Amino acid sequence: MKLKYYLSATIAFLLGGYCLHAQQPAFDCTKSTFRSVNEALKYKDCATILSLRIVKDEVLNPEIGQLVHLETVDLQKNSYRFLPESVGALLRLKSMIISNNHLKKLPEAVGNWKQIEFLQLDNNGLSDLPLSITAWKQLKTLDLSWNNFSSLQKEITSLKSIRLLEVSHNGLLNLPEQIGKLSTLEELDLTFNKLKALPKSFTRLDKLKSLDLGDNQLEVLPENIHQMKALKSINVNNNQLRTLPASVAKLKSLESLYLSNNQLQSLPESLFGMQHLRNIILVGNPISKETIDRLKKALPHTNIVF
Amino acid sequence: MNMNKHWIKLKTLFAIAAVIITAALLSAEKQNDPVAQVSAYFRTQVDSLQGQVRLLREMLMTRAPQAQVQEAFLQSRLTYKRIESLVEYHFPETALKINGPNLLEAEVSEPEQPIYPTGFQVLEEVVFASDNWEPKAAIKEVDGLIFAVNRLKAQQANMSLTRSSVLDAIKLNLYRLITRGISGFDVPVALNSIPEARSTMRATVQLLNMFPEADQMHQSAQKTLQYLEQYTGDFNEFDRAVFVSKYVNPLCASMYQYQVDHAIPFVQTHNRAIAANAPHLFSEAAYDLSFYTPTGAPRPTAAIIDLGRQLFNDNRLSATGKRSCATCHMADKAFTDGLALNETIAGDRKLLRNTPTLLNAAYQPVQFLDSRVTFLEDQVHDVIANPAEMGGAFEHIVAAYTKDKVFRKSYQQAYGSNTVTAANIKYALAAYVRSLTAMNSPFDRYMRGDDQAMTAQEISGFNIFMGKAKCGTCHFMPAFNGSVPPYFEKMESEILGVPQTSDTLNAKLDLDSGKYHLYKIPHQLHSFKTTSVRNAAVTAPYMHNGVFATLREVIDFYNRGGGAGLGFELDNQTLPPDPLGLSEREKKDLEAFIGALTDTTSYKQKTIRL
Repeated sequence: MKLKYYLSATIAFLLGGYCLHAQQPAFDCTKSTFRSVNEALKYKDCATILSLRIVKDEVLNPEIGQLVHLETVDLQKNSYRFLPESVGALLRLKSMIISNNHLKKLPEAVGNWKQIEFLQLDNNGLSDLPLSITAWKQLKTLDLSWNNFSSLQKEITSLKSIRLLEVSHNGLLNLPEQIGKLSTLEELDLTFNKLKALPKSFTRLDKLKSLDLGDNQLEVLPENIHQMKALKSINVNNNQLRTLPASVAKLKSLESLYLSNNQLQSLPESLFGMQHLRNIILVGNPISKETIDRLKKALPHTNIVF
Repeated sequence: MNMNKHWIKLKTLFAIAAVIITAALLSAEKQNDPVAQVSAYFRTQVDSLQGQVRLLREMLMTRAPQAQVQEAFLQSRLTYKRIESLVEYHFPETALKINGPNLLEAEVSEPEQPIYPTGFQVLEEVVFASDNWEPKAAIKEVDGLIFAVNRLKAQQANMSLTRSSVLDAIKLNLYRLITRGISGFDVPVALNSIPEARSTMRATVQLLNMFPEADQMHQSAQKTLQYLEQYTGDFNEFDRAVFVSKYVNPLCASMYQYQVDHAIPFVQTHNRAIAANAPHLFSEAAYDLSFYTPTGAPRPTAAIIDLGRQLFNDNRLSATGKRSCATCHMADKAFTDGLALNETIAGDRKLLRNTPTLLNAAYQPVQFLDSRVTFLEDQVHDVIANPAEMGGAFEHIVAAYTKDKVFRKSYQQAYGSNTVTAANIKYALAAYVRSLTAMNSPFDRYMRGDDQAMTAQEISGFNIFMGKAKCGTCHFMPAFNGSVPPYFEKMESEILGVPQTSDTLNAKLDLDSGKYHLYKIPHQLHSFKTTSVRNAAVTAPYMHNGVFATLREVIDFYNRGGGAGLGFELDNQTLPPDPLGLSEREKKDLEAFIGALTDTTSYKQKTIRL
């Protein structure tokens, strides 16, 4: 009897040990990444992260709207032509990636994403945004590059927390008059558009550190550019600038100035005093050798590329 | 005690019986449920398609004679047509892989990386090649097809079907049938369009029969099928005018009525140019023009349109103060200037491209011949700010109008505000252009049931347009431009090989790079947006450079195979290079039909239907 007891105990111990080794880490629904809507629906009371990245999905399952606890969603590289209205039910969404799809419009219901902080919409076919984006008060990063925007609606200037705005590689002809209202903006990428001018309010972007305006059709920069006092980098490569505003020298934080391939024949005198400038790129401008030599002398610690 | 036991037994038996009866009822209900039936139908048909394409591969592997392969190919397509409505609706990318056009595509961010077409239409060119029969090349394409069909099978459980979506998918497919199916768009070499139309209609009848209490809809579908079943002629002779106006349009209308009568909601979606609740494709209110309007544009009231009209005729929009929109878009010339090329505002040279009519400009998902902007508001901005065209600066324009009390009065009426903004100026101009609709031509009236609206010659011309001459494979009904049915959200551009002059003996290719300049996509070199044929009779001259003075010159150009027919060696000409072989009578009929697309009266209306 005793033997039987010990035998049983041994088997139990061995089995227990085996089970101990085989035991998976505890399943944490809120930290797990679900790979399909159907899978996530089984845990709809807790599913927080959904990734359908490159699953070659064609129509987003409208039942995604039941996953009301989702905070992070990645839909990159599918073939979605539209999003179902039900995505408006994702009230806790903080991060959404919808890059590389075929979206032409977004449903108005995306205005319900009041917690959204990070949104990538690059490489789609968008030409406008719903008016409801005014509700994205927490949004910090918005990527609209590689779409079909020829203009941006004024509603975009309601993004009260925006820090990074990417609208490169579109067909922007102009910017909204009220763009200066984006007072939290730190990085703005508008390269590869068709901008001929900047609106008056532009220089009110006084938190802006990085300004990319390369590959547009700009003929002038604002005279009062010095008001954008946080600027560290300005890229206006490949435009049609004939002059630079003298006030650019008042930008005390400016470290890099990219001016390649413009029509600059001269530089403002004030620029010769910008000792804090680390880089100035002047390739492809009809600037005389004398001017370059003088600049080199005046700014001996600056990397001057011409 | 015994009684109790007996009672329990009885209760148990009763419960079991109830369960069985309920299950039977549920099963019967499921059998009668159109959604369940459609789902089962789809599964069966996908299996069948899978079998067909596998057989096709087997035949290629065993080097079956080309004629047998061709027959198997056509059978596979017929099977696909039985599920096309559902595949296109629920799996649009797979549909593209199975039956997309044989054209190169590219992502704008990767212009040098062509996306090669796949599927039936690529396979068709291999299988029906008159020489150089290459089964190996065909195998590669069939493998792609098998992959796509397998994908359908794997994905079929994800289809979320409802009665609304099934009816919507069928209706969209009927639009597809009359615009792309019977025109030979998707079977351009074999031209097996009419047998395929039969297959589509057989499937339509079968699917619609799954809906109960639908006598009228069933009868209408059956009649449409009968018309096709009884037709014994060839591709060219098929009477598309009768088929569309007498059969398909009434069928669509009966489906609409069925949904209304049975309170089946129409699909609500924001990605639709043709309203889901339009009775048929040619109904007066079929288009929802807001689809082509930017979000946030104000509703186009009469006051806004009137303001737009004033602005349209106002020289102050230009740098010199001597040119308005109306200078080049003249109302008495159907909003063109009648010139091959107009001059720059400085008068020092010709502009690059022909001035297009503004009539029906609203029915386009993109603007300009190179498709560079989406909305009319942006088109307005681009033209006004273009130094060659008007050279205006909105800062100055807004300042000038702000000082003008008379203007401000109209502005106040339109917007209820005195603060003049550039955005509102553009909205007003765009609203006016959107009001220049011309969708009430004799053709439209014919399609809406007025048999007398078109002459016999015009009807014959329509049938040639949609058949032998293949015009309808690029100029899609009902706008007759390049917006692709049934969603009309994508605009096609074509490389035609347009010459510099009308001298066909010493023809030289026009060197305008067209859409290519946008993203430098190699296969878009010399490609231009497919403009509308509506009002073409009154909008001469033609083509992007205005090279042809008459419609006859245009028809002759296409008849000889475009640039290829003029001797140009364009690798990427998208217009089929083969001559059309149109007779003199056929050309005249075509001209007559194009005349029946004329409607220059509606732009006088002050309001717009939306």
